[in-house]
Amino acid sequence: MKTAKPRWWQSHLFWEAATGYLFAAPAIIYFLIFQVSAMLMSLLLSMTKFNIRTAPVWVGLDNYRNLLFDRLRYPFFWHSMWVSIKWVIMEQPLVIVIPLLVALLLNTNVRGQSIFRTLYFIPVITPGVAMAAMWVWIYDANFGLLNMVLRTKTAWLKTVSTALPSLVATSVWGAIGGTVFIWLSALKAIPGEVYEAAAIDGATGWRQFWSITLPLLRPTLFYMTVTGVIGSFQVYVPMQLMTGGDPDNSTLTYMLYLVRHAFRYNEMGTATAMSYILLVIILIATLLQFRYMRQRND
Amino acid sequence: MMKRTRALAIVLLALMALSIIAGCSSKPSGSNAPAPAKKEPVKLTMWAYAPDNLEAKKALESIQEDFNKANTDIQIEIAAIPKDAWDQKLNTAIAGGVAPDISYLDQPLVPKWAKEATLLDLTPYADGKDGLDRKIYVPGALNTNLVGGKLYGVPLSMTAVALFYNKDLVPTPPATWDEWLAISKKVYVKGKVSAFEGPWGGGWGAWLFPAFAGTNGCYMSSADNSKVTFNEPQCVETAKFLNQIFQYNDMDVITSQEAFGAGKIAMKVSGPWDMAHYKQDFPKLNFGVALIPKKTQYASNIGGENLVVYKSTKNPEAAFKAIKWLTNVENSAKFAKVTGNFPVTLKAQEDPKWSSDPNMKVFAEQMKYALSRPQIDEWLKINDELLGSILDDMVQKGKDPKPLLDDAAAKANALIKK
Repeated sequence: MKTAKPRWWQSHLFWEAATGYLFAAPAIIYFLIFQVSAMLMSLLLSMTKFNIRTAPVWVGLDNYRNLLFDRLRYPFFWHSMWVSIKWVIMEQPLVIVIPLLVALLLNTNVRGQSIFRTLYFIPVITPGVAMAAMWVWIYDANFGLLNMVLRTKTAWLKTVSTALPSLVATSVWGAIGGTVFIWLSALKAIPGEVYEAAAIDGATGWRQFWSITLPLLRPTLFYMTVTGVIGSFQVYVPMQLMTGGDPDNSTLTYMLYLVRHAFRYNEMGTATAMSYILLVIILIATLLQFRYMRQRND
Repeated sequence: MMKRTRALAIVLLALMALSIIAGCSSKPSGSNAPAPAKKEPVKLTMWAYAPDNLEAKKALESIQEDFNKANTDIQIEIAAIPKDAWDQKLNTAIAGGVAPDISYLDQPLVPKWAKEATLLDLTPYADGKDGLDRKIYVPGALNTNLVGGKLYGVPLSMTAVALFYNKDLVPTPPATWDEWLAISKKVYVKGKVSAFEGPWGGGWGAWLFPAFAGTNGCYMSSADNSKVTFNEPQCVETAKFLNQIFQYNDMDVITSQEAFGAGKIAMKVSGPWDMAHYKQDFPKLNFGVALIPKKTQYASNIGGENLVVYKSTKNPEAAFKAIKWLTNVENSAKFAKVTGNFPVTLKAQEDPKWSSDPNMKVFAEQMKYALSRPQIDEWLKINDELLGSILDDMVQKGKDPKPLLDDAAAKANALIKK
């Protein structure tokens, strides 16, 4: 009566692998249905003329060609791209460096550490809309806190030269809390013996920072730059809530321009094509970072 | 060990299979309910903009209650959708096959959505038995529902902009451009009081611009909507004039939040929706409303919403009956409370609520001079990206408007032909 079971049925490795995949299955199934298939669908949609409400019409690569070359239909395509690049260049260094400094301070055993941590974390849990409403008043030319402190009368959000940097400041303020905690945990992970050994060799303060702390933080820095730049390219919320792309389109970022095409001008096909162009640009930026920033295994 | 792993794998698989079955079989549990004794009322859903104040919210809720009491055969459910997310939610709902039966729709969208077969043609119902008396509506508002002679909606609210002025700063409002400029000059105090909050840039400014150009006899498009005409000499003159007025403003004052409410701006253009706002939030503000000063004639822009029925509705007759009821004389007055705009029926406008308030009376007068929006498919884009992006240069920086307007008009006309 004995039926010979196949070898793989007997194999411990097979069942272990199967268990592993089954545990991961919910996430994988979710990813395939709601992410991958949606991405493929939108790739198809990017080659159609689609107003959302009626059936899409196939137009091949027209959307891409028009976006890249037709300045009559899309006068602000390159402009909005440039605004987004400026945003990344301004925002990213600040979002990384300022939290690092804060984390270094918090990592020295200051009194009331937990109070400081809470304070830095408050912006992270503040809803974006409430934050925007508050900052619009802070930047107000007449009643604004910022102008009161500086004794100026600058219309920060309504002046071409200051609008984008002002939004950067708001965004950095909101992002500090979350990033501080990543830095802090990275700092805590550096073993104390390393510093002790350095101290014995006579290295103090800055020398320790440059020779020990910073090199050991490199993997964290790399991770934060890569994910940060990807997120930063897609910035949309602050300008949607605070400036609407004004003044004179100086805060019209790529994503804001994309959303306008999707929902204001009813050009969903164009909007999805824009998102694929952005994907390529982010991919290039990420590859460059992998090429030049990744920790060398030496 | 090996047995345990195998067992675990099988249990997991079983659990997952179970959850999928459970997920798919979740039928509505109402199938066991007893059969209805009499005919069920028809259920309709309607989408409205979420009102921005409590009074308007209550008014909208009472409309739903009244409707359901008055119409036992139709039960309506009005969903208040935030205006910021409106376009996104509505388009998605239509695409997903869960469109409401009825909704508000911004006037300029009606022709496009009608042509794209999203909206239900109401002509057969309106002309049939128990049809629609079109004469009760303000003609200008009704006309925004007509596309190629067919009716695709009924007017719900209408609006136009007029001149708000601070009576403490400007005792008598200007009636002409010359007076306007003179008053602006007089009232301006550097760093403290600015003359006028107007169409200084962006898509919003571009929406206001036709009101001013209209007072000089310049229109945004030709009568047949085949081309734009905003580069004609009177429009160039308008832009130059606006730049002259702009000289009596400080950027920091006019861009400040609620500067008119705080008494720092002497005059501004805005619609009737702002009256409730200033009365409620700035009780000390002594303001009046006047017609927009004219050069050659009175004019204003136009805005507002219509009630439309979607082609996907299962109950077109009930939906038509509902929108007819919702915009009758009595209810159009109630909707004016909800939207903060004007009632769309002529009878409701005679109501003392509107005719006894001197400011409202001015708005009613201003509405008569409202210019219709160009019926051009690309108009939103032309408004935002062409007109909106040169306003700054013309009216703030004082660059020569002629070449800028010529260039924008040439681009707009090329875009229309594409």
